[in-house]
Formats: sequence, C-alpha cells, structure tokens
Amino acid sequence: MNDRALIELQGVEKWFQTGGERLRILAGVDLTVESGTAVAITGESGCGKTTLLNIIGGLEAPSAGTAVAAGYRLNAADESELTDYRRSVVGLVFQFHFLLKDFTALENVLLPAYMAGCRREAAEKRAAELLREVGLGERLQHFPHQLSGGERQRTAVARALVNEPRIMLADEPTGNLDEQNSELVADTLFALVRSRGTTLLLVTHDRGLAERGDRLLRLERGNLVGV
Amino acid sequence: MKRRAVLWIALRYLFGRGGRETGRIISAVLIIGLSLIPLVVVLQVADGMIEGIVTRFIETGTFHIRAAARRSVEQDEIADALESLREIPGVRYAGAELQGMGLAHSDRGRRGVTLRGVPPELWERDEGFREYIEVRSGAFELDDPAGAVIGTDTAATLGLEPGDELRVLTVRPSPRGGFLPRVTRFTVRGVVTTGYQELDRLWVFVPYDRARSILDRSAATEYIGLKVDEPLALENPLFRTGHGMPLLRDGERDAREIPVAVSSILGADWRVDTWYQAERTRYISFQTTKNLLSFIMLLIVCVAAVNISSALVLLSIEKQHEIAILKSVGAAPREIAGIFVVSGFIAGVLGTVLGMAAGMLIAVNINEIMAALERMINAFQAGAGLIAVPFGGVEPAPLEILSAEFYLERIPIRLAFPELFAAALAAILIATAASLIPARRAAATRPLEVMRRH
Repeated sequence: MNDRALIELQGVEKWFQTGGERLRILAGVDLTVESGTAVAITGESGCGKTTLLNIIGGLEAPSAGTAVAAGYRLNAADESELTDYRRSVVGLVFQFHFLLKDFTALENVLLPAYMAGCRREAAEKRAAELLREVGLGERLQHFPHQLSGGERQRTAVARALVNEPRIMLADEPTGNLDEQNSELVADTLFALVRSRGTTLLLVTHDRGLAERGDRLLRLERGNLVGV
Repeated sequence: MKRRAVLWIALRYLFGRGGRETGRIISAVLIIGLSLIPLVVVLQVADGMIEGIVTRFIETGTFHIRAAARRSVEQDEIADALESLREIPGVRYAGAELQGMGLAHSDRGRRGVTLRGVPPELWERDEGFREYIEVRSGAFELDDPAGAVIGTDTAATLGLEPGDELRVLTVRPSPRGGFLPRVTRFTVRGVVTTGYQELDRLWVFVPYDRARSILDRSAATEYIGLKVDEPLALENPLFRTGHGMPLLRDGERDAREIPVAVSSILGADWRVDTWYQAERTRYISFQTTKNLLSFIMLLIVCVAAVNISSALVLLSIEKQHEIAILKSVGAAPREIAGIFVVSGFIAGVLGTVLGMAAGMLIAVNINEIMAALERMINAFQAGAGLIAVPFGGVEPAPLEILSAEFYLERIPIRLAFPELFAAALAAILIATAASLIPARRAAATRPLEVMRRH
C-alpha cells in the first residue's frame, strides 16, 4: 500500500444475487486516494457509485477484493471495528439529509460526538461552532422540519464533520437542492474539508460540482476510469 | 457510545415531541401501573387479613403459647405451675383454661358450643384479650359462678341477650357405664365478638371452676395459656420478625427462649405449642393462598409487560430510519439495543411508581372503598327491588362484601415495605426483560437497507 494513501481499493467487486441471476455492480475497482485530496466520482445512474461509497463508508461489505481505509481492512472487519471506523474515521453526507426529527439542529450535530464519548458541553460547543461555520448560527434550536432543504443539508454536513473525520464521503449532497442551495452547500462542503485537510470522496451527477475536486473519476461498467 | 448518550436518546424517544410513539409508551406505562395495583392490594390486604386473623386467634383463642395437659391435672398443680410460669421474663399473662363441648339451648333454639372455662380475672389481666374482644352488650363478667359470656352468633341463633337464661347440656360418664346428661343453667352476662365469626361463633365463656364441675375431664382439654411481650417473634414463617436471628431485638430473642422455659417448668406431662404450631395448617393455608394470589397477580404484570414490548417493537419499527442513521454515524448494535432496554426500564419504573402509589392508596383505604362499594351496590339493588317487587319480584338481600361470617369486619392494613419493594423490583425487571425483543430487533437493523428504502 502506498504510504500516503488513506484509501486503497484493490480489485473490489460487488454483486447482488437477484433470483438465479448475479447482478455485477463493481467489477474489480482499484482506487488509491491520498490524504487531504478531494476525489469526485461521476457516472450513470445505477452504475454503482453509491455502492462504492458505501463500501468505503463501512456500510456495505465488498463481495471480493480488498478495501483498506485509514488502516481499517473494511473487507474483513467485524461489526465492532466497523462501528469504530464509522465513529472516528468517516463522516457521511447523503443525498437526503437523514437528520433525526426529534432532535434540534444543534442536537443532531452534537449527537455523533456525544456518542463517541465526548462530554456533552464540549460536544455542544463544537456542534455550535460548526453550525455557525455552515451559516446556521441562528438556527441551532430549530428542528429539521423548521429548516429549509439547503439548511438541512448544511446541518448534515456539520454533523458529518463534528468528530473531525479523516475521510468525508458525500453521496449526491446537492442532489435534492435547487441551484442556489446546491451552490451554498457545495461551497460549505469544500471550504470545510479544505480548511481541515479532510480527504473528500464525492459522488455526484453534477459535472460542475465534480470539477471542484482535485481528481475526477468516472465509474463505467463497474470500473473507475480517469476523466 | 456513552451511557449518558443512550439515556438521552431513550428519554427523547419516550417523551420527545408527543405524537403517536409517546402516546403508546404512556399507555404502556399506564397499563403496567394498572396491572401492579391488584398485586400491591393483594400483598397488603392479604398481609393485613392474615395478621388480623392471626392476632385475633392468638389474643382471644389459642394464646401465644399453649400448653395442653397430657393427663388429668389437679388444680393445685396448675396453680403452682402458673406461679412459676409468670416468673419467666417476657411472659405477661399465664392462666388456665378448660375447654369442652356442650349443647347450648334456649327457648328459641339450640346449637353445639365450645365451652371455655376461663378464670374470671382473664378480662382484667389480659390486655390483648380485652383489645380484641368487643363486648356488644352486657359485660365480660364471670365472677358469678352461673354467669356466661357468649359470642354474637350464638346469641343470635339462640335469641339471647344479657340477663337471659342459657341452658347447657353436658355429659359425664356414669359409674355404671354409659353417659349421664347434665343440664347447667347460666345467666348470660355479656355478648361478645372478635370481629371474625369463624373464631368465636361457638364460644361460650364460663367460669373456670364451674367448667371443671360440669365437663367430663376425660373429654375436655386442660390448657395453660400464656401471653408474651413479642408474640410475632416466636418461631413462625408468616412474619418477618420471626426470621433473621442476628437482627432480633432483645425482646424478640427472649420470646424465642420462652417455649423452652415453659417446657422445662411443666415437664413431659404437658405438650407446649407456640401459636403457630397450635394452628399450623390454618396458617400455612393462609400463606399458600396469599402466595398463589400474588403469583396470579404477578402474571397480570407479565401480561402488561407484553404491552411495553409491543409499544417498543412499534417504536423500533417507526424509528428504524433513525436507528439506521445512528448506526451510520457510529452507534454500535449494543448501544442501539441499550436505547430500547433503557426505554423499557424507564417505562417500567414509571409504571411501577404509578402502580405502587395507586395500589398503596387503595390498600390503605380498602375498608372505606369496600364500604362505599357495598353502599353503592345495595342502593342499586334496593332501587331494582322497588321496581321488581310490585311486579311479583323478590326484594334482593343486602350484599355484605366483607361479611363477618367469613372475614374480618375490618381489614387491618400494615404496609409491608420489603414485599412492596420485591414487587416493584419484579415489575421493573419484567418490563425491562420485555424490552429485550425490540432491543434485539433494533440492534439488528441494517442501516443501508433502511436508508435505501428512504
């Protein structure tokens, strides 16, 4: 493994069994991502971009191949290692904000830090700072249903960063937003990861957004190709 | 995830922002509370009834310690023994009693009775006897050799009041073989009750000396009855003071030594029994009934706990999406399970507090509640009777929920905190255990599958 590589995939395959048929999504993906870089992955709908991101996020196991991120061997990790990995190494932003509806914006953001063992006051302080950074300093006590789509997504970005992850995975983070909000979320996301030196892996259909990354890759027929 | 975070999420899930989930949890809490009420009431009322009945039995009937003569004993011998027995520390009364059977009759009827020949000074000397014998009319006076004191039921059956004549037929063996009947006339001096008719319905108290002259000594039983300072400390499985020797107070320790001292004074001609030994089967049956009732009531709590389980299962289904999010941001399966177990525990604690409070409130007011219920039913019955009688119906007899014929007229209530604590603990454990199924279900949530559905 490359010494500077934070993420390294070798021959990663993923297939699903549908009836008697094997549906192959990833066909031996090789990928090396160095620490602090921003990599954008594009591709047709259903080509396996989200599946690839889920494998790197420790949410899904590859069917074959090896996937190593920040020293965690994801293809062979047990549930407790994966929990630890998700808690301390990665931050996830999905196309849908996935905020908890019974919790305020501040509580949603502080939750991962609190769960990771941070004291409540410290987690609250860190969450409030992040929410201010994403422009939601006035919305701390608002519940998700009281926020606009863009505000919810920015809250989700703040939540993904609260534990200061080394890897940020963003799956179509602007997919559900209008142009103005997309721009705002993209600006926020890139500003935050760049200022922290966080490695970003971004899956998007949005060519403009993808081009803001350091590297642009395309997933075609189950394999990554440079663009 | 830290325990505090688990607790925080659990509390938010339980009482978050109202809504369906909270409503369901509150109803599960209420059901646990309601299910506990019968258990608490049974524990307290049964204890109260057992203690009430036992106290009446031992204060008015069997004494705390009873020595029964194995052979015919002369009066002098008994008097000497009584003097020595009264010297034992912790003994507050010692007296002789001769008990036998007779047929009491009056102009109104007849019935078999238990003649209790007791010293006339029993009423004065025995405070416990005085406390639990209620004189309904006349007085407890046996100074006159022809005086008798009878129970309310016998008085009602024979239609007797103080001042009336009571005739008692007894039999003695004839020197020529067979039996000679003998009718003795008494004057009723008082009508009394213990409040528990099963105990006193056949009692006819007569002066001890008179009993000796009319009862066949071979068929009657000579007793020496003793009262001690700490009767419930005498070895018995019913009351907690009887257990745990190292925790016994001085008086209780003394009480345990009394039966041994009594036996050594009276010797082998007397059989010495504590109150528990004297009526062991009766007390065991009380205890068994109480245990059985408690067990049945505990089953109700178990059924109620199913409600907690189903409320949490529904919660886990409704929160599946959020559980998936929690897992994706680093919550471990055991921590997700913890949220539901803590929820079950909190619901159990709340239900238990509610049920305990309501149950204790009902238990301490059980007599008033019974009386109110009785009045209500009787008023309804009387109303129904008013309508039914003109049409040839029968006027219903008034209902007596706590009939003195079978129960105590008034249930003495004493809150048994160790038992209540055990019941509360059991309820909380059952409720917590009921949350294990939803907890496991929630812990097994696969975040990606759920997220894909959204």
